[in-house]
Amino acid sequence: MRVSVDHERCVGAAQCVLAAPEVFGQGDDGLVRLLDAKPPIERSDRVHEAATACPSRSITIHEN
Amino acid sequence: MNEEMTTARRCPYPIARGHPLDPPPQFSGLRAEGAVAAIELWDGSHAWLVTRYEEACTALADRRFSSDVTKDGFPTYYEGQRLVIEQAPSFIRTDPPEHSRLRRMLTREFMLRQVELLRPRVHEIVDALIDDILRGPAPVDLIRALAMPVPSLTVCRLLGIPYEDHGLFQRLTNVTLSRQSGPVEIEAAVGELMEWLHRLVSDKEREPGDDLIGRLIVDQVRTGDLSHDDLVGMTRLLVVAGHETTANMLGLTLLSFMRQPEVFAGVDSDPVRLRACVEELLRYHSIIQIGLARVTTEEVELGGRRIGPGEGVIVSLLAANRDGAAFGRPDEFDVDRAVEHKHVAFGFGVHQCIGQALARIEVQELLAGVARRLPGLRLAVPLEQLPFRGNMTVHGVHELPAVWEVSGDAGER
Repeated sequence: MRVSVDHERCVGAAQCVLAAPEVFGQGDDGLVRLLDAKPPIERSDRVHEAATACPSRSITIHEN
Repeated sequence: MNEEMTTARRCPYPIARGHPLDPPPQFSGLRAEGAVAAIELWDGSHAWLVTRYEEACTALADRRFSSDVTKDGFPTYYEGQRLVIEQAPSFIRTDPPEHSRLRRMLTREFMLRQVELLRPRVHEIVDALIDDILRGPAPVDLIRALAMPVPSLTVCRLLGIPYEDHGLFQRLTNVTLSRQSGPVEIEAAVGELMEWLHRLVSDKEREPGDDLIGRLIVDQVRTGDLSHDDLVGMTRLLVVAGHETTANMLGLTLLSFMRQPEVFAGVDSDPVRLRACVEELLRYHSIIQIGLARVTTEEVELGGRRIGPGEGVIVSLLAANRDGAAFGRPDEFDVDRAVEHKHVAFGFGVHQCIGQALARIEVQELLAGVARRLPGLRLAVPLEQLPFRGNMTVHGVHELPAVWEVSGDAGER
């Protein structure tokens, strides 16, 4: 799986960091930083949880 | 106004609760009839009420549902509310891009690792207040002894506001957030609140300290990115949102603790369970009890219902968090249901609560502190006698009399 984030849409609610801290972090501005754009399959559930929980819908998951 | 809206049966809104801790019983019926119900507000205006979890998230994340209170058709819950909104504007009542520009000035202050630095301070605040309770007489009103001072002290510390001022903003926000306050009373309270805020911000502009407002002055006001008036609005939002909501959530947390002490036993030494308890408390109580107001910017479809442009929509977070389709046995308090990344107690969409990480710390530290040092805390009167905040925007209880038993090493820090 591949993950991308839309920095422009992000509102810094940090739901993604709480759901999948190995994949998403917060930069010094409080906005999302992608830590792992190609997370391993075992993190798939939590990455999906992060994407669903994101209130500004800033996370896109590309399945392949 | 479209035809559907004029012919549909309209339910007066807000609807009173039956049981003080459950949503109005009518919600189940409305939800069964459709995702969106036709309602009538205090001024006779018509709006739509969203009661299902899925459509609540959809609407709040969709930018065609505007938060801009200056747009025609924006719904209000009581007569004086428009006065509050117009005389004390803040960025939660705006849409992107203006909303994003102002919110981003604060995201750094409320990011997880930043607010975690406040946890030891919150822990100390809770401990000191429990010391006072243990030294004082019983019964004690837990709202005055714990639920209100924890967020007041935290918010004053974060924003750099003298703690002596907390009585003033508590009194004034109580007036502005009550549906029972008349317009004259509200106008006076808003005036006094704004005067205090202008003075506070002006003092800080002359001599900015090492606190949130001071940093905004140095980084945003002095660079010309933020006006004095916008900083006043922002400060008001942070004071009201940081105090009123948290205080009420803490009151209901203490009530839940006393009703089911066995559920919370040992949470002070089990961080995973503590976190789960707090998330379920947030879902169960959903203190923003009336809902979040929006107005459509164009025609939209929501849950099979066509909503015309410029129509008011109220998303009930309480109804969404008690929707059986999203949360099984929704009216039961169940710590094992794993709601952490799902409930909408903090709202959804670009306006989702910016202070949620700090709110979580305050609820967690209070619950852990009480479980550790006051496990024998019990309600001093029957639930039916508690004065619930039925007429307030934020649910809670005005007074929470409690007694406690100290056994073994309980009570010690």
